[in-house]
Amino acid sequence: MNQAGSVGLIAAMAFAIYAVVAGVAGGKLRSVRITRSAGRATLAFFVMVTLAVVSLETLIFSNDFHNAYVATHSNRALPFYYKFAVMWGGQGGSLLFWTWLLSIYAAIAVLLNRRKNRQLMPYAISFMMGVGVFFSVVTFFGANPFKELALAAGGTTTPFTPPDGNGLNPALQYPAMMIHPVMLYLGYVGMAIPFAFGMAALVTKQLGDNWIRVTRRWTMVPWMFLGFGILLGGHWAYDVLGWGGYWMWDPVENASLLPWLAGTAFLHSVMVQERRGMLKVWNVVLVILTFFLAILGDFLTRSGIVQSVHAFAQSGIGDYFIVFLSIVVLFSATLLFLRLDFLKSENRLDSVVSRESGFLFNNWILLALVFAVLWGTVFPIISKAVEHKTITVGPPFFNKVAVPMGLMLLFLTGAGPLLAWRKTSFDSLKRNFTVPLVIGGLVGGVLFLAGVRNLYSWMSLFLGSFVAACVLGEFYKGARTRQRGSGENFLQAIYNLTARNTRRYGGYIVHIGIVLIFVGFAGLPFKTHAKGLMQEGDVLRSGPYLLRCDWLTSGDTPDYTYREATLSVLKDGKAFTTLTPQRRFYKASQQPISHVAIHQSLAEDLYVVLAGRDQGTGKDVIEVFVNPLVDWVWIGGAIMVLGTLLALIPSRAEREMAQIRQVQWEMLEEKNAL
Amino acid sequence: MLSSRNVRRAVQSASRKRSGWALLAAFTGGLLIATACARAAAQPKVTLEQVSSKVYCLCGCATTVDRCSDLHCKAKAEIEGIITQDIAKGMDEPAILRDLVNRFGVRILAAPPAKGFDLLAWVLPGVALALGLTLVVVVVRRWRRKVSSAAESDRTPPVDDKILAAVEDEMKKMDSLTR
Amino acid sequence: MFLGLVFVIAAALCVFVAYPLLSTQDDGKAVLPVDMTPAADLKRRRMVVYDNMRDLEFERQAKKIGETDYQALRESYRAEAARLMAASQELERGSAEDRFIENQVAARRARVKAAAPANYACKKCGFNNPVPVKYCGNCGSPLPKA
Repeated sequence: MNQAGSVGLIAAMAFAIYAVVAGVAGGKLRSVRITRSAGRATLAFFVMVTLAVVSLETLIFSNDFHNAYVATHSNRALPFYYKFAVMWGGQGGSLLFWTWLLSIYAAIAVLLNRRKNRQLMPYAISFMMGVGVFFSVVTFFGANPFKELALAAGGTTTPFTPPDGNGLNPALQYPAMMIHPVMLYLGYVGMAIPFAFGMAALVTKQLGDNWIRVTRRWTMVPWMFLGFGILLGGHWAYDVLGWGGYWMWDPVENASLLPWLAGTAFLHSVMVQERRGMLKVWNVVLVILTFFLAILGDFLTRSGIVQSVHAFAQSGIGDYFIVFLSIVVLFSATLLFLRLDFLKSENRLDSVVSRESGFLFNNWILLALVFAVLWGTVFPIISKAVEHKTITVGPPFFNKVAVPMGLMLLFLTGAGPLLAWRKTSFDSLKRNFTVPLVIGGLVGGVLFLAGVRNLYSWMSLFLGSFVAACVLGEFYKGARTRQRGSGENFLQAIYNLTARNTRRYGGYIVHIGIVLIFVGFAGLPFKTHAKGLMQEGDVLRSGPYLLRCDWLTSGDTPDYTYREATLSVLKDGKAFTTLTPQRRFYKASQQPISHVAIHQSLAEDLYVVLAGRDQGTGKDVIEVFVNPLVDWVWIGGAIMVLGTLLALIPSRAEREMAQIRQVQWEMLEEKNAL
Repeated sequence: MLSSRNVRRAVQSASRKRSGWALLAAFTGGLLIATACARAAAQPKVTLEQVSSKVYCLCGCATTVDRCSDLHCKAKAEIEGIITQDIAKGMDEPAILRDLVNRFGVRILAAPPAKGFDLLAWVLPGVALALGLTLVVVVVRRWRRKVSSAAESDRTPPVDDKILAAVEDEMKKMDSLTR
Repeated sequence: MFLGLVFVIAAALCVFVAYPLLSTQDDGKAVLPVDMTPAADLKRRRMVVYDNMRDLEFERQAKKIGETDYQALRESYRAEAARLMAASQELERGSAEDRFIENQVAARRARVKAAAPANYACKKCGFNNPVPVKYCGNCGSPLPKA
């Protein structure tokens, strides 16, 4: 099975290399048959990587501890559903999984474009498979998950099979961990596809509207996965790490945020190109940057170059990444430079106050944010190289630098869509801004009087209500306008409005999600914390909550032993709920972990951790956090995903246009065939 | 008749403009006052949580002290002990942080101090923000300048009625297709 | 067992990948069609302008935009569409002229071709010269004037 996996990987590598060459040849010669062959090689790449993945999964599920990867990351007692997670529990498996996801994306791209974008495709295949070559090489040579264990004794090595494995990292044995890494990887890897199309457009000089339309969709999908993955990661951290929060500006978290921010910038500035034929160079730069940051993020987290709570194994794969990243930068920069002439703007700006400049400001802050987060993340490395001293750049730095920028972005989230394209006079400005500003001001005033005195919280809520008013106003005004023309009722009008322009209104829904997430952030400064040593019958008070320890029990399962506290909670003297936090000790990996008990509500979460046992007194340590508004972060995130999905549905007009284009292509093809 | 209406409209729009500015000014003023109040209301009392969220735990957990989840972490216990003592002595936050740096070195701070080489960490994001803004302004102005010269060329060829008719035609066709 | 299966699948995929190269379906000369002709590009730019105009109309109805802004923007969009339309017509006229010239050239060639065999065959060696020449391309003996 180990050999089968290796053979699968090597064959995949060979097909990928062939696809790169055939893609270039097909593009250069404009040959249909060579291009078709390159496309088939992409599918073959997918099949072979799939076989490698099947091999690894078989090894995992059959508890074959002769395989080094399985021995270090799995064990017999691991429940079968977590055995899937072993795939991304370690370096080699993760890289193989990346390669597999890339192969899926590439195969879909090839299948969807059999009759479309015929000139872009050969080069797009080359670039996608170039990335494929890189990942299969890193997987095979850098961190092969198909290595076998052997004992070296007296100059000879004998195969070795331990009776049981070391087990999966307990932090990964959690339901969200079944999908969080998958989503995150789908986000990272998927950025290779827009990159490939962008580069193909540069090579073929087909820099009109085509590649932008293809790329926008191909960016939106991984962007959505990435955002969802980040959110699930936050949710996981909240549920598992037991410090009552969801984001700590850890390098690994930052690394996932960077491509998301750059992708967000691209998804916005792309509209300026579609609508006005401007910012062409900039869009290419953003596509390249997004891909670069996705790979860089992988490099930062997987190579162990930065210190992180995620504690991935240090390894030698860093060199592969450095080489690859250099190639990407050099190649794309050169190509971009050679094509600058083809990227001239089609239009001009009429007024400084316009949607176009709104997008520019949005890009400005997003990119500054990218820089600030990246800079803070890598600064310890720089400082070490220059000053030879170890420093840390942690939450206080990022909070100070990133939060103000985040608030500016929040403002633009609402203000941008209110600006008209090309030119917005003061009169129009006033028309659109008066109501939202008044609503925001009212909410802000009420909050201030109600005692919200934390600046950032107040700003989040004030700006949040302003943005909500802006966005809902867009829906309201749009629907009223439709009603006047069509006689539909309000709900019908809202529905038709959205269906007619899914992109715009889907985008607005994403903006609402952003607002809700900021509402969640606004609760952060009001978090409270209490800690107590408890025995059965002891009580602990935190704010309006009174926790009484009813029972303390211990137990044993094949995978772990645990201790559990049963706490009845009173709120303002009335019975409220019962919570049962656990502390587990995993046998195979010899690691403890807390399973937090949370009582969720829209206003606040009651979050209880059984942190362990105090050595001095032998009592159990209970920590209680009261986290206001946390749930809004998850709700906002879910709404963002829904909004993106809505925006991905082609609207009726788009479908019509797509059909017209398809007919045109087919006519051209027939003409060529004659 | 027409002109008087225009005049009235102009006057109206001017007064509307004025009220708009007033609104904006009131809004900004309110914001400033609120900010100042919020700042003033922030309490200066030092707590253990507050300080421990600004220093790193040295046990290798790669988080700040307040987030280190290891109950038996010696480093955490030691640092928290020092902070509690310092608070009891009546020291303020900067003094406590100085004390901790003296004992453990700069690496204990969760954010580097803004001096020496490490000042770069703090300054560069601001510089990037400023540079970006300059770039945006330059780009916008260039776009604007081009329009003033392009505007003339826009108007020089008188738009042919036949072409305009073709445009209207095509537009109607598209409308009926996508409705 | 599984290893064998992997090898078999890999071999099958090799055939699958190579097949288009070996097929004689289209003489191997079929050329990838262009994604966007200049004419189509002009058209899609017009479509974008129409989209913008439709949105502008909607924004006016929704009272998002003032009347003066609306009028000015509408005029400039119309001018833009007209410019693109004029360019399209220019292009079409151009390609019509091209087509005319191409037809003329093709017709002349056909005429020449039809006349060739009789006039340019060498009487001495029998070689059939492809173009009108004074001396035979094969043996060098002079040919009679056409």
